[in-house]
Formats: sequence, C-alpha cells, structure tokens
Amino acid sequence: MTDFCGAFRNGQVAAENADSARKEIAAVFDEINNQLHDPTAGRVEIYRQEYEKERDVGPYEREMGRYSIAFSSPPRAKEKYWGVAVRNPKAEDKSPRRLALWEQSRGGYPCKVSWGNVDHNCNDKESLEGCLASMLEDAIVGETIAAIMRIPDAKPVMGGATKPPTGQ
Amino acid sequence: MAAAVADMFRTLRVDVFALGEVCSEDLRDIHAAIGVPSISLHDATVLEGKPHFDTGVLFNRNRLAVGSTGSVLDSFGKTTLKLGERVTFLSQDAEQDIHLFISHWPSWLHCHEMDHKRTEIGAALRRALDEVRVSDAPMEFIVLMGDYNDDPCSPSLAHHLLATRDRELARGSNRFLYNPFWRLLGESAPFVIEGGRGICGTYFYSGGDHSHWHTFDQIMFSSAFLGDGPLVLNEEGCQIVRSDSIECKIRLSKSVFDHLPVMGVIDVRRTA
Repeated sequence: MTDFCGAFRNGQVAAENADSARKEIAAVFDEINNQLHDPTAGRVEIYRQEYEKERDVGPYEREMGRYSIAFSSPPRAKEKYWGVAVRNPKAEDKSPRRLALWEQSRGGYPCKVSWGNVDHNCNDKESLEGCLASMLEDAIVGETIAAIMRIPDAKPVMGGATKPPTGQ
Repeated sequence: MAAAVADMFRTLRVDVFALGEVCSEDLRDIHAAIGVPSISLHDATVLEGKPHFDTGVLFNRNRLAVGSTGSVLDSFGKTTLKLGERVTFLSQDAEQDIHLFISHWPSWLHCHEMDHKRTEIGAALRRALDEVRVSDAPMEFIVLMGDYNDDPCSPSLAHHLLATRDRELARGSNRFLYNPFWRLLGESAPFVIEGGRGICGTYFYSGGDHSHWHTFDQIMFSSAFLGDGPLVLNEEGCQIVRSDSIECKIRLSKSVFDHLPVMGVIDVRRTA
C-alpha cells in the first residue's frame, strides 16, 4: 500500500525547507540593499519583480498573422515572468529597470539569474551571493544602475518613501 | 600543436569542430593554421579569474550561420561550473536551427565521480535543454558534445541528463537524448590471439584502478535526429577518431594529450 503518511511527513519537511530557502533568498536581496545604501546615498534598490509580456506566437500563428491585416486579431495571452529590477526610491520617476531575468524553483533553490548571454543557476545562498555580485560587476548592469541614480530626486512630500513590490 | 589539429580538421572535413582545454591564443593559432577563409571561430574561453572556461568552436560559414550564443553556469557555494556553451546555428542546407551545447565538465580530481554535484550538473543541463524544447517547434535539433569526465553509463549522464542507450526510447520521447557513445564503451575490436593493441574509450589514465580507459568524450543527439525531419543522425559516422600518433601520445603519462577526438555525423535529408 502507498505510504501516504510518509508522503505527508516528507511534504511537511519540504514545505519547511522551501520556506526557509525563500526567506534566505529574500535576505540576500536585503543584504545587497543594506550594503548599497550608504555608497549610493539610498538611490539604489534591487529587488525581484514580476513582469508581463505577450506570449510568443507559434509558427502557424505567425504565418497567419501575415495575412490577417484586414481582420482584427484576438488579444494575445499574457505570459508572466520574474526579473531582478533596480529602482531609485528617491527619484521623481521611481519606475524600475530590469537588470536580469529571475527564476526560482518551487523549493527555493536552485534559482537562476540570466543577464547578457549568461544563465547562472545557483544552488545555495553563497552561490546566489556570488552570482549577484558578478551581475553587479557587469558593464551593462553598471550603466543601468548609474542611469537610475542620475534621475532627479522627487520633491519632498509628507509621508516618506514608497516601498518596492514584495519579492517571490 | 596548432598544425597537428589543423591537419586533423582538414582530414576529417568537418563543418563543426569543437575544442576543449584551449585558450584564446590556441584557438587563434589553430584558426590561422587551418587558413580557410570560410571557417569562423567562436571563442568561448574565459581564463582570467575563476571559473576558467576553456572551450571554443570552429565552423564552416558556408553551411552554418550563428544565430545566438550563451553560457550556462551552475554554482555551489564558491564553486561555479560551466555546464555548457550554447551555440545556435542555422543550417543553411536544412533551413533548420541546430542547438549545440559544448561542455567540459570537471574532472574526477576536482569533483569526485560520486560527488552529488555531478548529478546536479546533469540535471541542470537537462533543464537548460528543456528551455530550448519549450519553444515553438515541438522537436528541436539539439546536439551535446564535449568532455564530460563521466562515462555514458554514469548517473549524471544516463539518469539526470537522460542520455540513453535505447534508441527506441529516445525516438519515442524528446525528454531523452540518444547517446551513441554507449556503443563505444568497450574494446575497439574482439580479442584474437595475434591481434594488435586496440583502444577502449577516448581517455587514457595509466593510474586508473579498474580501467585505464574511459569514454569521457561523447556526442549526444535529441530525438528530432531520429525522426523523419530534415536532419538525420548518421550513426555509422559516430566514432572515436583513431590516430596512431595521438594514441602513442595519450599512453605517455607526461604528454599533454590524454583524449582521443570523437566525431558525429548528421545527414541532411533532401526533399523532392
């Protein structure tokens, strides 16, 4: 007979492990922001953000699309994905810029950071820290962050800064 | 060395020639020694800092165009391993994309054959292939080649990358890769009393406990190559390239050569 009790116990352990892995990953991003706060005068915040894009069409749909100018085409399904984003919480324009793509497995690790032409899988906290440090060393990522820091500050308003969206 | 490799390139008349354990200077020297204008070089080496990446590929621009390239990395703690360098070619004869993953996995010296990292490397590379497989075309043409520092029967390749010896299984499900190098695990010829010395794999290590030979160098193919599409595996052409001079060198423990090259052949199916 299938051992459902054993499966249940395994699931509970897996749930605890996944929860602690997700907290650990969130703490890595908190640590980046803590360390960057002073050298950037609080103008850089790095976090995970969900994005939306139109689903890629298949070859058939693509082919049909060539001949469908005269007809109204139905709206395409949206596809959600995660990215690593940067924003300037002090700026007038607080909209984020995407630095990399982010994927996370159900159990937290492995997670994957993709930028440039690199897909980097990380299997633990230490490797994630190393990977995100490499990402910050990338020239294009550096330019994006520099551009974010140059956005003029917002005029002071009562009520303080807004919080970034909550990560995964 | 560049001249010897260039000679091999010319003799084998290959369209894709992947090299491992090379630096940019080696690749430039080999490219120059080949001296054919239509041969291009994709240098994927990064030898400054850690980790070191040491692969590159020469290809025939008259038959293949590079669509995109990328590196797949996997990290554990402070260790970062390169699972493979992806080069997506457009075959001009077949008008079809071919996704090539070139790998040089860590040696048993740096990552023991029973180390769990090896199985994770196999699984992570399979996930990278899954990303290619979920694109529009249901059967993508994917070729994996390189020095895996594992035999075809090792768990990393057979169970986690799902590179099987079973052609029918691979043909029926594109989750699997077909690995023709299972057929090249043993002695190159049956025993006869006065037979010459054969080979028993692609890599020779005189200090091996149970065998001096391993079949670490392999080429694996996705299911699409076993179907009725425009590109078909020619399995008879999949072989270990024999060369008296290299075989002599790899048996010498002081030689820098310790691998024999491997070759794979893909036929373009012409439609009427």
